[in-house]
Amino acid sequence: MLFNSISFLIFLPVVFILYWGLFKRSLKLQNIFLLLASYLFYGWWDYRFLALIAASTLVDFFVGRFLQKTGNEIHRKILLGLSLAFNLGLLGFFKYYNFFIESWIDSWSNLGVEMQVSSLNIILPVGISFYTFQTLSYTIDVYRRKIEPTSDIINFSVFVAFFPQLVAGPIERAKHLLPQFSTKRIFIEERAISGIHLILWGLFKKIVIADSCAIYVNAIFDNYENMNSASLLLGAVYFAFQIYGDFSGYSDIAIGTGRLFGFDLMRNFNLPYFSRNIAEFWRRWHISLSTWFRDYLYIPLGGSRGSKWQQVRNVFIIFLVSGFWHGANWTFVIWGGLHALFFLPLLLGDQNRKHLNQVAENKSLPSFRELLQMLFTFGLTSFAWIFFRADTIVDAVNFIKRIFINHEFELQYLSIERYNVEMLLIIGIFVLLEWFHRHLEHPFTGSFKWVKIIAIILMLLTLGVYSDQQEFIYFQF
Amino acid sequence: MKNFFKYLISISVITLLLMFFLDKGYSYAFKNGQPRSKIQNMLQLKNKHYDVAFFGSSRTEKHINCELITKLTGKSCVNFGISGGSPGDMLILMKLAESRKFTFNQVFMQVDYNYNSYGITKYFKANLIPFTDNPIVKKQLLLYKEEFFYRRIPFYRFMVFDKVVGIREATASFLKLSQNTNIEIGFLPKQGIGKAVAGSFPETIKDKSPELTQMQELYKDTNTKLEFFTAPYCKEVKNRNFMDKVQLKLPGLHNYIDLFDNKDEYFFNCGHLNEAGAGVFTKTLIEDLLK
Repeated sequence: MLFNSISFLIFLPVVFILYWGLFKRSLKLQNIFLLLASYLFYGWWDYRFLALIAASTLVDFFVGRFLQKTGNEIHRKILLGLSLAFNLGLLGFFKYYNFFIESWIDSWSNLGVEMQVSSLNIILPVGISFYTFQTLSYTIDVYRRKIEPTSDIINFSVFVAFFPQLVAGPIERAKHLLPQFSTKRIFIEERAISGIHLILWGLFKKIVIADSCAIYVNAIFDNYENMNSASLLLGAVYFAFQIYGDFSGYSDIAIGTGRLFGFDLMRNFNLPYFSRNIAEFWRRWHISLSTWFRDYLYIPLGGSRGSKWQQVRNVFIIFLVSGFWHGANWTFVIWGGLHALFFLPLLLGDQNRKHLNQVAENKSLPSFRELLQMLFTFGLTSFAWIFFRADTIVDAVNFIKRIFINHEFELQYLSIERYNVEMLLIIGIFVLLEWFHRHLEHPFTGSFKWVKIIAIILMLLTLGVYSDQQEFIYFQF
Repeated sequence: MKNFFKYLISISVITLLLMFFLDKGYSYAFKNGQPRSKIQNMLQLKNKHYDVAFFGSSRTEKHINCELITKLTGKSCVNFGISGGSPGDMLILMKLAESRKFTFNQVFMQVDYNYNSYGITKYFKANLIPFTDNPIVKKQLLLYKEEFFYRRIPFYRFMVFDKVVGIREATASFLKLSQNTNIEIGFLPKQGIGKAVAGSFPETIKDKSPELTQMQELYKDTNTKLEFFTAPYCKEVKNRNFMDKVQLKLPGLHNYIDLFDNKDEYFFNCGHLNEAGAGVFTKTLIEDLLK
């Protein structure tokens, strides 16, 4: 079920009313109901894959229980290995099997050896990368004795399958979300209203920004051989806003929906395009995944301890794995590698912990230096996004090559019957809205709150894309 | 909870009010603004007479040069062809033309593989959205079970078809911005030479085409002569003998499918002529049918 669909528009109020009306008196019933609603939400796509969620839930629940019971370190390691093997095995099979088979055949083919290994027609279950990482974090934290395992299978099941964040995060930690299922929920009006605001803002980001950008991005990337330099540059910029609007919009709706049910989900985006360097960008972009990799991969590898060489190695590992997590395609690996390269000078110059605050704090406008820093960082990320969006590495390289060799910067009329620059106006409004509310999670505050709400609803109605509705990009990961 | 529901109701009321006023605004723009589609154009005009009218898909829109017909024969001509248009779409246009008191001496309807199709296309339906209160449109949509429930939700109908009747078109209509092309003449030629997208005609033919039959009934006992024609296709298209089966169903069909079998330079792609090909094809029609 998509957040921006009619079915969700019906599903959400029904679940909300039953949850706070019928099941208000019993926490247990509320959790059972949330679990059923979550399974319905997920099963709307493909009910067969519910078995995978259930299996992942059961494995990690019982591994957690056994980890608590045994003090034997070897047994504990075996149990952790079992959970890792099961979850990563699921992910590996469904997401990467064909990729590895094809890469294997290609590499032999390059050496002149033709191989006949058939690939399988595997459908990628929606959200598998998200819920496997969420359950893994539980098991690893139990193993590390950072949290107590739960003995309540319903609570654990709903923690894994909680519908607002099931298919595209935020990837929650058990330490943060699991206890919320054991705590009596009280309906707090301010929190629920802020949830509605976040949903509204998320819908704006998705339907007005991301889906509108998608129309231009598809026209430009799918036909890049005929585009001039200006259109190609704009294509990269539009994709930067498409993916940001798409994913941060989803996260906002998820967090907002969570609040309607009395839950507090972690913030997943914090104005990443106002970052002054790549390190800051990664503290603000897909925060739940960045911190997951930091805690469960980067730090165990040694993190920023050890020699410079080890630090560089760790940075490359984490970015390459992060790239690969996004999809079974070398384009994502290159994307991750590029970010590692961009990060490298900061690491070597000990600049990666700079800019921990919000840009232009207590000022309405950035300094010229800050503006240049933000533009430079945005340029770097947009450049890397080209690899993320392109179908193949060759396409990405040709796309970039054409930017530099075409040298034509005039208006271009695209196949979508629009000029290449038209989207800039909406993006400009969006950037200004974000900038002037950068210390807030959404713009609906202050004395003009209702004016802003009406303006956003008006834009949603008139500028939103409904006939060409796009799935959320991160569903495919 | 009470305040929360009040808040939700406020937002819902605002949304509904905005939808109501937007619906009124968009409808006004499409009904009174500059016509930017052939449907819009027809629904704004009344009491027009043309000697010759052409109906069909892109193979009419891009092949029939009405200016050339008028120049060579002195006959007034209109091209109602719409890219992707189906016989169902054209039937609605014909019925709308009748209701708007359009009169024609000769009507040409283009028939090919579309003999097998039934119903109206999405693009055409989108263009009808601002006019769903028109009795003809309403009746036809009902007939095709296209009486969408959301027609009753203000503005939702425009949102669903935003690509065709969204803010861009509404604003352009309202600001009276014309299309680059003359939609009243309706000829939109293709440029270039090629024979790509050969494709295939169906292997079997339906018993009958209810929409073509209705067209025949519409012009029966009137002063308008309805004729069917088939525009040229490249010889690479598969199952071209499908047209022999159509000929059996429509004995009077003027079949030009093989007209340019040895003239590759007249094709833009397998199913469409380029401007030069369209000119020669139009002249052929003039010679054969319009003198």
